[in-house]
Amino acid sequence: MTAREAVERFVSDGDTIYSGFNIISFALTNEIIRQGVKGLKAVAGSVTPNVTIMSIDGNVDRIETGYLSGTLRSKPFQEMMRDGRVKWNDYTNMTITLRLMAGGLGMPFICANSFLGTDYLLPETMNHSRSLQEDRRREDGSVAPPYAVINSPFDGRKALLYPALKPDVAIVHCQRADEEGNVQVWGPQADTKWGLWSSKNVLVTAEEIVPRSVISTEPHFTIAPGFKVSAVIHEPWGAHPGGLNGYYRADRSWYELTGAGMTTWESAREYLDEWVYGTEDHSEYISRYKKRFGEELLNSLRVKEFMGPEQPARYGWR
Amino acid sequence: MTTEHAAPGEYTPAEMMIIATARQVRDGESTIVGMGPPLLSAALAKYHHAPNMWYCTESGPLDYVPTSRDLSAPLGIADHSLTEGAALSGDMVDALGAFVNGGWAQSAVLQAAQIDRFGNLNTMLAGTFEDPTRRLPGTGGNADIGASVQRVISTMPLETRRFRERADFRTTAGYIDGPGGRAEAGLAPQGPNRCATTMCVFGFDTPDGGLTGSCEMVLDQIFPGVSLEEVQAVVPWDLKVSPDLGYMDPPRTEELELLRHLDDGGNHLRPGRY
Repeated sequence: MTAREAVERFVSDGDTIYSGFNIISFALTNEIIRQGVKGLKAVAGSVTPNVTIMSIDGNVDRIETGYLSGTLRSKPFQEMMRDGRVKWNDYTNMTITLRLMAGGLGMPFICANSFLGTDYLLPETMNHSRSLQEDRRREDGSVAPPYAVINSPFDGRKALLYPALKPDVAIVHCQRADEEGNVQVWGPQADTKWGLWSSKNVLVTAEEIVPRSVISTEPHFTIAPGFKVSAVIHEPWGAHPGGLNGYYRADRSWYELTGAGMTTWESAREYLDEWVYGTEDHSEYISRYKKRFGEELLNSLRVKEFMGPEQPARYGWR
Repeated sequence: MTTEHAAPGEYTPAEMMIIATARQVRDGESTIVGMGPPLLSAALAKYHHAPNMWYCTESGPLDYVPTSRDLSAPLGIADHSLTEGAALSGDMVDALGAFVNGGWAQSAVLQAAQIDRFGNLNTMLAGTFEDPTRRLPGTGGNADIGASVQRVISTMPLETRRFRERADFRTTAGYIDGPGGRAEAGLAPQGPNRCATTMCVFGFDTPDGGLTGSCEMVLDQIFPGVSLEEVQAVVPWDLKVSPDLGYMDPPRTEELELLRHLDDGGNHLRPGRY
């Protein structure tokens, strides 16, 4: 499947989309923008600059996250958070991950003590004027809180409940996958595994497509099994400008070179027109990047020293 | 071996802050290290005096053991280099869930935009919630860590806009409103332990682990060349001063050299950042 087909088929206006803390699929991000999907709610432990990019034309207009990573350098993004074009509720890195876990495990909510004793428990924080009250409206018209303090029925102590998150769709980039959609990832994994398990449809771009035999000799690297995955797309450099452990480092010159920091509305427009709408797909985006800034730049990001097993783990049973 | 110290003018206040923060990190302790300058301070501690600390970050790697051939501090909490020499490369449920909330992280090093009299941290906004003068990135893992870790070391430059009688927004629980505040909120009694700044290091008045004492920030050590009056002029409340107030040693030459090497390229301490 191509990124275009995957987004056409599995991403709809108004969906809740998981796009995580790291190993971000910029290939799918850009395709969502090209197709003009509107009104998505982005959820992740931390949201990253791909969410800034998706907010400019209203692809994303709601956010639930613990951290705005690199997104606030954009004045347009800050402006939209202030005037309510982007709505949000704040959580934490762990509580978003646990909420995804609860969604993946089929639990209605999960317990964590993270906000006890903080101003997140003030009513004006939970239901501020740009908060996601509409998303929390119950059938009887009342508004559910974003989290709630209870006294534990077991020992009476204070406990804080957070509702499960079940995104409609997850997008992620991975080191390798096979054609059945078995997804393998290594390196710091943050919220990824539970982002995939909790989402109805999982769209994965893979740096490499490998045979099933490669997957099954190291099955401990699989974070989502094929039956959980709706689409696998082969996209080399699919995480660019982000990095991929064992393949390439994050491209720290990208912001300045392309204007993707989106510090002004003009630079945001120019970036989108040239690098997103002006490219057919991710492979054209990468070839334009090479042409414009030289192949050496991308090559310099490639990982050159690898760490492999000194004594490989061997499975065996007889 | 003689211990040589850097002379005044040979180091910046920001470098002194990083070194003072590193000096609070203990060998053998399991530590969760937060975003930003804490990554540099903890790396300095690991190379300098705490080779057996457990350097862990919230994205999943536990017990990062950097090799001496690549002496540069991680740039972020999900930096690919953090899997180097690691004992475990997991995810946030492992790191913030089991390790931190499960009570296995003995200390934490965190940066924040503001701290208040009782050690509550703010990484959310300046001003008021409805009309902030500045929106900040949010808590990240700080709230998760502050709720569970019993020895929190925070770090930030000593500036009046950062040191508040009450933080503009409390993202991370310190002692909340004073003695017993944490217990009343449903948290374990102990929390903030140190705050290292560009001029001094603060402790907290918690003789009984957060249940008694005033639980206020207490000036503990002043840096060379800084006076008590200068610190008091920045802090906007009636600051408590330790009866054993001391001067912190200036950077040792070896600490300073190591720090500059670890921050190769000025990624953490680039000009204008502090």
